[in-house]
Amino acid sequence: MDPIRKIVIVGGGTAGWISASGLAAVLKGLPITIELIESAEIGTVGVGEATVPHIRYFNARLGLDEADFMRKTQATIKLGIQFCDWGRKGEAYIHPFGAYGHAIDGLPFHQHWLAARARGEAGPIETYSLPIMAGLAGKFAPPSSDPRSLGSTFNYAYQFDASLYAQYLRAYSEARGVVRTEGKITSVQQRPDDGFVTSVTLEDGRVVEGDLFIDCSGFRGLLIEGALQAGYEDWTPWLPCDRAVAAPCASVEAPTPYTRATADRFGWRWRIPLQHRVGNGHVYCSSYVSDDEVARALVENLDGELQQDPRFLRFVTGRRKKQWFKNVVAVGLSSGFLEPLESTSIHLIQVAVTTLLELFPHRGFDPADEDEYNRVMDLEFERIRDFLVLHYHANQRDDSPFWIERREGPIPDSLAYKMALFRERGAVVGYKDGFFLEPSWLAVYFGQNILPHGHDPLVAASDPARTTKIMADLAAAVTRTVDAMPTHEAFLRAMAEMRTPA
Amino acid sequence: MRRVLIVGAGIDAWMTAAALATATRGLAEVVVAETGPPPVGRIAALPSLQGLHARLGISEPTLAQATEARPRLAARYGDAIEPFGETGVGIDGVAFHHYWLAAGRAGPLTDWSLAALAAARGRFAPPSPDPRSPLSTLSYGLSLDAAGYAALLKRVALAAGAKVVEGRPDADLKVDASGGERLLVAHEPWTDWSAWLPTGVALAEDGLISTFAPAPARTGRIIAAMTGDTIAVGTAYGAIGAGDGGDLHLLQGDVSRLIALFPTGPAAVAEYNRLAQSALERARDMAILRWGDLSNPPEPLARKIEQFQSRGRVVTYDDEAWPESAWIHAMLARGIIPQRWDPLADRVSAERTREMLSRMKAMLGQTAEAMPRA
Repeated sequence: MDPIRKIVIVGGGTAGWISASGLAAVLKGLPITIELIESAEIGTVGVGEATVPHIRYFNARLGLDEADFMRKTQATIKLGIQFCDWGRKGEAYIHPFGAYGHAIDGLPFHQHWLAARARGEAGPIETYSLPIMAGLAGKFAPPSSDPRSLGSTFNYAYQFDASLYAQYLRAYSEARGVVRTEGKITSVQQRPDDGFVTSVTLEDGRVVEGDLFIDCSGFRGLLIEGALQAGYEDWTPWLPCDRAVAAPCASVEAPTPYTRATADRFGWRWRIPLQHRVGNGHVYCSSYVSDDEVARALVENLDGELQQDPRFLRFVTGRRKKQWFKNVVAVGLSSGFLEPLESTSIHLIQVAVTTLLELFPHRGFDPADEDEYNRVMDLEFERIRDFLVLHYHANQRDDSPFWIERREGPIPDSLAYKMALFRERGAVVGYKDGFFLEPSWLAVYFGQNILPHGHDPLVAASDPARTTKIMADLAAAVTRTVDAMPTHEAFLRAMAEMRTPA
Repeated sequence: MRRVLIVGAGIDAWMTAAALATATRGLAEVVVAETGPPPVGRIAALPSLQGLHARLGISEPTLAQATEARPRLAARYGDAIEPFGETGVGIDGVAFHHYWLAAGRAGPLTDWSLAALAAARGRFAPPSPDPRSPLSTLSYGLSLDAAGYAALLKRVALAAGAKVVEGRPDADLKVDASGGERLLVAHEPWTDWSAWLPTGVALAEDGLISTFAPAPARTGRIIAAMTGDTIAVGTAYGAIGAGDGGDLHLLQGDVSRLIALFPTGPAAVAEYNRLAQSALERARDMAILRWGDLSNPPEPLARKIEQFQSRGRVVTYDDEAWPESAWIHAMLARGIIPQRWDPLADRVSAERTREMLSRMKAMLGQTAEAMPRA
C-alpha cells in the first residue's frame, strides 16, 4: 500500500491545532510530514470555552502535563452545566459529569428515587450526586481511583480560553515537527479525473501539495464545500437558533466549577468562568429578535466590566453530508455545527481526529475508510443533536412564542421514542456509540420536569424502609465528602503552584 | 404485575421461570404450563451464561454436579477453530491482528490465542483476575447435559416461588417459551431466513475444542416478539439454529430484557421489540458468517465483511453478542482476509514486529504447557 506522506491542515484555530497535535502525537514514527496553513488576517471563532470530560483522555494521549496545561490556558474545573430557566422561569438544575447514586437490588437508583419520592421520602435528586453538590458548594478534589469509593462516581472537564489552548497545542505541534505556514489560500487544485484535491495555492503564489487534507477552515468549508461540494444537511427545523454574540467580562467572584446556560426569551446565554475572566455569549434565533436587542441583553447580564466589544457570528445548525469526502476530512465548524449548549464543539473535533486516526487511509483512499468514518461521525452528530433538541422541547414556558413553538414543534423520531419510554416508566434508552449516557438524560428529564407516569414495577419488591435508609445514608455521605473537599479556588491555586517536570 | 404464564418446556421455559421468579421476588405469580419432555444430549453455552448463574445463585459446584458441566476453550466449525478470550495483545491502541497481518501472517492467528494453544494440548486453567498474567486473556464456555440443566433451572424456579400448572390458566402476561413449536404465536407472520441460513449447527463432539456440525433448522423470526399480552422468548421468537451457545445466549438476553422492560405500556413493549430484533439480527449475522450462505448477506453483515476485508476493521453495533475477537476469527475462518492493515501498525518496524510476535507466541506456548491437564 502506498502510504500517506504529506498531510495539509487548512486553517489554524482550535480545530486546526487540535488536529495537528493529535496527528503529530500519534503518527510519530511514520515518515509523514504535517503542514498547517493559517492566516493571521482570518480571525478564528474560538468561542468554545467549556468542554466535556473526554478532553482529559485526549490531553493524556498527547502526554500533556495537567498543571502546565491549566496554567497556560487559564483553565478552571468544570463539574457540569447549570441550566437556569429552561423548564420554567426561576428553576435551575445541574447536568453533572457523574452518576446519581448507585443501583439498589439490581435496579437503577433513580427508579428507587421515583418510588421514594411518591412516598414523600426522597430528597431532591441532586442531593445524591457528588459532582452537583460539590459544584454548588464551589468545591473540587480530583476523582478517586478506588471504584468502591463515592469519590470515584464523577468525572470533570475544563473551562478555558480556547485560543490559548490553540496556542498551547501549536507550540506542542511545532515542537513535534508540524510546519506552520502563514498565508491566505486563494485557490484549490483538483485532479481532473476524480476531483481529489492535489494542492492549495497561497496569495503569494506558493503552492502547497498534499496527500490528505484536513479542512479546518471554519463555516465556509473551503475544501469540503468550496472545492468538493459535499453538501449540507440543515437541522434548523429542530434547532432554529442561527446566531450568537460573544463578549468576555471581568470576574467579580471566585470562578464556579460549572458553566451556566440560562434560557432567555429567544435563545439562551452562556457564562463560563475562567481564571482571569468570564466568557459570555448569547445564542439566539434571528427571526424572533434583533441583534441589538440580544447584545443589550448580553451586556446587561454580565457579572463584571465588559472587556471587548461583542462579536457576532452566524451559523446554520446541521452537518456536512460527507465529513470525509475523497481525500478531504472536515474537522470543526467545516464539518457541521451544533450550538454549544452541551459544550460539544471541542469534543466533536477530538472525536473526529481520533476516528480519523482509527481509520487512517493510504494514498489510494479506499472508499471503505470514508464510509466508515462518515457512519461513525453521523451517529455522533445525531445523538448529540437529539440531546440538544430535548433541552428546547422539554419546556413549560409561556412567556415567549419562541419557547411555545419549541415545545409544540416537531422532534426527531429517534428522540420521540426515547422520551415516550421515559415518560412511561422512567427508563433511559442506552446506546454503545455516541455521547451522553444515562445520568445526562436523567439530569435533563428531571431538571426540565419530564417526570415519568410510573416506574419500574420491580421496585416494589424492595423493602421501602431499607431503600429510604440507603438513600439517606448516601445523601449524608455526599454531604460529608463535599465538606472534606478543598474549595475550587484552593485547588486552582495548588495547581498553579505545582512545578511542572521539565 | 399479577400472574405470568409460561408455556413451554425444557431450558427455554425453566430459565424464563427461574429468572422471572427470582427477579420479581413474590410480586408476580409465575406459573409454568409444562408442555413436553425434557431435552436430551449435551449442549454448548457461552462464557456469558456465568453472569445469569450469579444472579440465580447457581454456584459452579452445583452446576457441575447437576449438568456434568465441562469447560470449553474453543469451537470448531468445519476446519476452522475459533477460540474464546483474547488473541494477542494490542500495542499503542492498534489491535493485535494488524501486527499479525503486517508481519505477513506467520502462522494461523490462533497461535497467539492462549485458549487455542491450551485446548490443543488438552490443558485448562480458570482465567486469572490479574491483568498482568497471560491467564487473564482466557475465557471459557461450558458444555452441559441439557436434561440436567433444565432440571436444575426448574429447581431454582420452584424454590423462588414458580409453580407448575395444569392447562393454561388466564394470566396478565403469557410467555411462549416452547421453542420451535411456537404454541402461542404459531399464527404470527413469519420472516424467513432460510436463504441465508439453510441449516443450523449442533454440538457434534464435546471437548475443550467443541465441534459443531450442520443440523436442520427452520430459520427466521416472527415479526414482533411481544404483541398484546403475549411475548415469545428464545427460539419461539426467532431461530438461527445456533447450537453453539448462540441460542442460549439469545434466550438469556430475552429473559433479562423482559425483566428490565417488564411491560408497563406501549413504550416498554416497543422498546422491548426493538431491542429483541436487533439482538437477534446481530446474532443471526454471526451465524451467517459462521455457517450460512455469504453470497448475498444482509446489509449490516455486508458492511462488517467489507470493512474487515478492506482494512481489518471490526464494526460492532449496539446490542452485539460477540466480542471483536470472535468476529476476527470467524471472518478469517470464512477466508475473509484483510487486504490492508492499519498503517499505524507500521510505527513498529517489520523486524521488531516479527520479534515481538515470536516472543509472544513462545510465551503463550509455555503458559499453555504449564497449565494443568483437563
